Amino acid sequence: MKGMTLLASLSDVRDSLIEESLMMFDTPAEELCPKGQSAFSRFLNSGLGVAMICTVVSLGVLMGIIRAGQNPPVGTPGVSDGTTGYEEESSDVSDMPEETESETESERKNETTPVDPPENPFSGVIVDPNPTVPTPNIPTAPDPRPEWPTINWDPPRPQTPSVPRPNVPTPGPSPWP
Amino acid sequence: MQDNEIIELYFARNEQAISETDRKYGATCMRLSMNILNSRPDAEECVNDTYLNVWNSIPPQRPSYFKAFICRIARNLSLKRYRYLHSQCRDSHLTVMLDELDQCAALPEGDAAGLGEVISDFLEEQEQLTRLLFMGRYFHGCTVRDLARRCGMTTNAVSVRLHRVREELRDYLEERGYHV
Repeated sequence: MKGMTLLASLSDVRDSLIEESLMMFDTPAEELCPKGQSAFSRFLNSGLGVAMICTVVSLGVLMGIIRAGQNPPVGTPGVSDGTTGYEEESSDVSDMPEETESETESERKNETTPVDPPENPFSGVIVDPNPTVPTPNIPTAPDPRPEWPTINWDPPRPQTPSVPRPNVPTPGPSPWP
Repeated sequence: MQDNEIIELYFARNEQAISETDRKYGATCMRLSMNILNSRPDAEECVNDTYLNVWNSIPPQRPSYFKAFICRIARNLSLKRYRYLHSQCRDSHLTVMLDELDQCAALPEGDAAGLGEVISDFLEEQEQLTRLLFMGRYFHGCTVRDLARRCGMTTNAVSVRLHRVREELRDYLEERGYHV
């Protein structure tokens, strides 16, 4: 009866342990074992849960900013979204073929009644498909770099001292006939 | 009445000490004895024998923890009574408890020298709730359902905790040479 031996030996444990065990009969259950948090609430309150929530929120905000930057609002000058609803005639006539007067008149006669284009909400506003941004006149600052000295690659030739010419007598008449 | 005052009555051989002891700790001793014997007449007899043993023990002893002192005497007498009454057949209530402890230690009969101190050292290393459950189950003889109700836990949680502490106690005892 090994279990009985162990059971009986429990009577010899320290008094403090017996005293503590008797507390179970005098203390309410709520004080002995307070209700713990659920696993989900423990996760949320943990550092890992807080970090994950912050990461998800940050990613959501970042995605929203990126999408807002890719799709700007309609009507921004210089930007064409292809859906203005009014096809304006191009002001650039350089690519248009040259028309003769007769062709123009015949075309005009054969033209059907022009259809009024739909009301352009942006009438009066000429949208330049190729806007040119004027370059600002920015004054240039002087070049602070020092001017390199010009190098004269033709050094002056040394002057040779003038040698006096010997006094060479002039030959007389030839003695020979 | 405080414990030290009751002890002084014992030292004065005043019979009022027994009535004061019964008033203060009678319910505790009865509950402990009932958990082991599961019989009210036998439990009442054990409680009466407990008071007699305390009267004979004080003096010369002067226990520091009077409540633990009385509970220990009541428990030993109840186990002794249990062995006397059930030497041939086992009571179902205590059988389960004994089977659980059989798994805990491989001890030959009677080899319990110093086992109380070893178990004390083991229990003091555990957390308080585990100690309460272990002592409540195997010292006081409470059922798992009763422990769950007192501690505000589910029966499954109590069973799991007791199983774990038995496993740890078995390893603890084997490390210290308590094996066949």
